[in-house]
Amino acid sequence: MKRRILLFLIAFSLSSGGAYAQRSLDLGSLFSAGKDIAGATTGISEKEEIEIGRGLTGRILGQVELVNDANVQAYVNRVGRWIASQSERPDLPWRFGVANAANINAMAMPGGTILITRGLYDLLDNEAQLAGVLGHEIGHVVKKHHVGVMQKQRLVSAGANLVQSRGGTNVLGKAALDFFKDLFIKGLDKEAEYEADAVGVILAARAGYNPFGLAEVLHKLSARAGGDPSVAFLFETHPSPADRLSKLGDLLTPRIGELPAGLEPQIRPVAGNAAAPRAGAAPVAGTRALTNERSAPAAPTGSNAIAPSQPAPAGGGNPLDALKSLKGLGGIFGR
Amino acid sequence: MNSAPQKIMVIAAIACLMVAGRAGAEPVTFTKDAPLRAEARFDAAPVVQVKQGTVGDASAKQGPWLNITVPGSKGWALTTDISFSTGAAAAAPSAGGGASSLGRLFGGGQRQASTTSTIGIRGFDKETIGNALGDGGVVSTAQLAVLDGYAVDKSGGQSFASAQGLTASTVSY
Repeated sequence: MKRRILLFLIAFSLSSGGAYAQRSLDLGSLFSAGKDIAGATTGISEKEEIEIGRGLTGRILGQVELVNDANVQAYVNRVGRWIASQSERPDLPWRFGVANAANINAMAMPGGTILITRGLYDLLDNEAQLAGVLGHEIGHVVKKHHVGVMQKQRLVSAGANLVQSRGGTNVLGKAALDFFKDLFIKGLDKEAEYEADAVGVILAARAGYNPFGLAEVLHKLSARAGGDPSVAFLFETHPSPADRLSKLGDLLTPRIGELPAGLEPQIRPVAGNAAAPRAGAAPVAGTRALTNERSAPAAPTGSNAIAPSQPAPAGGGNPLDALKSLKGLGGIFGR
Repeated sequence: MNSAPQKIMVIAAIACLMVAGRAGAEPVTFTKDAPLRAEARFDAAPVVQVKQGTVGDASAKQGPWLNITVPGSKGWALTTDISFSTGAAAAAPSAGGGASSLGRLFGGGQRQASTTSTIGIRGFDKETIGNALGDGGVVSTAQLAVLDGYAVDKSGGQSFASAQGLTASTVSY
């Protein structure tokens, strides 16, 4: 569950795509040469944060494309958007994507873009677990952990060219690239990860999911300790799953009586392992109309092409249901 | 049950069921002192107070609760109270937890991770991030456009939640 910064940008003379692709940000004015980055980030606006995250996302997707499954991508956006709507930043232009990456990880970009690897997505056995993962990443955005690191670690020394203009496009300067590359590899501090865990479980609970979904994912990650390469980078950049579980237990146990039991709907599996989608590929019906976060009219709910899965009470009392859940749990904790 | 062979068959069948039931159990270790409760509810009566380091078997799940058998007792504990591994290392919070047996006991579930089948696909790792931020890194406007196409607004999230039977609750941090 990684999020981090790598930042700065790039320009977006993006000529296609959604509403935010049309916007441009004068990074030169934001991070001008000779300007102390700490001072600059102190006053970073939401719009600037969004654009930075967008540029980051573009760079990452330049290396790892999205999984070519429109149903799953739309599904993850709906789950994520519902959870994000329970946060203190419900009006960000939230984007969620499953990246065609084999290892187990996820990233949050400043401004509300969340990418989860297919390796992690495939590890999940129900929607409550997905909610836990997305809630954790949303937590980083809600708490502005990226901006906080920018402020804390002073990105720049006087005179560094953070952003340069090349052919009419703003690009990230080498100093900034090097700085954020290093930061990315080291990861956020442990307290930020613990805080994101705490926010994630609360957001999942607010959204009606079993708040312990993230804990189940952490058990699955813990089961992969001991040299599994799919989690190597995740483990380098995060506290151990055992420590995170311990912290979550300290947080949740005293509140178990007040937390709603929540649901554990089935998760929508990835349909195949096709090549990444092309830009012109049409999403499932209804999703294109939902693109504009702020200016679009209310979403046409009747065009939802995703059949709702069957929600199951998280605390169902039927022994057979429990046994069925156990098998699901076997998948949960067994991989 | 008129004959010895019939009795033997019944006994064998029962034995098979017992073995099958045991095969679904998962070894766990308590990572902290915690109660085992009579039911999967926080206000259910405690059956026994289990000490950190106690080893047991989890055989069922209800939401955050696991039905766990420890020597002499059986009841429900929170999933955050245990580790799915056994031995001294499992009881230490900072231990990764061996948990090598989880897949064997739980059978691998209904979905398979793609980490084997997608070998060769790049991951979110040092190399990828380095490349993304390196001199050769580029912004994929095409992929950004695809990502935008899947975006959902608040009402879309609400509609989805309603279809799933999800309702929002007020829960403070």
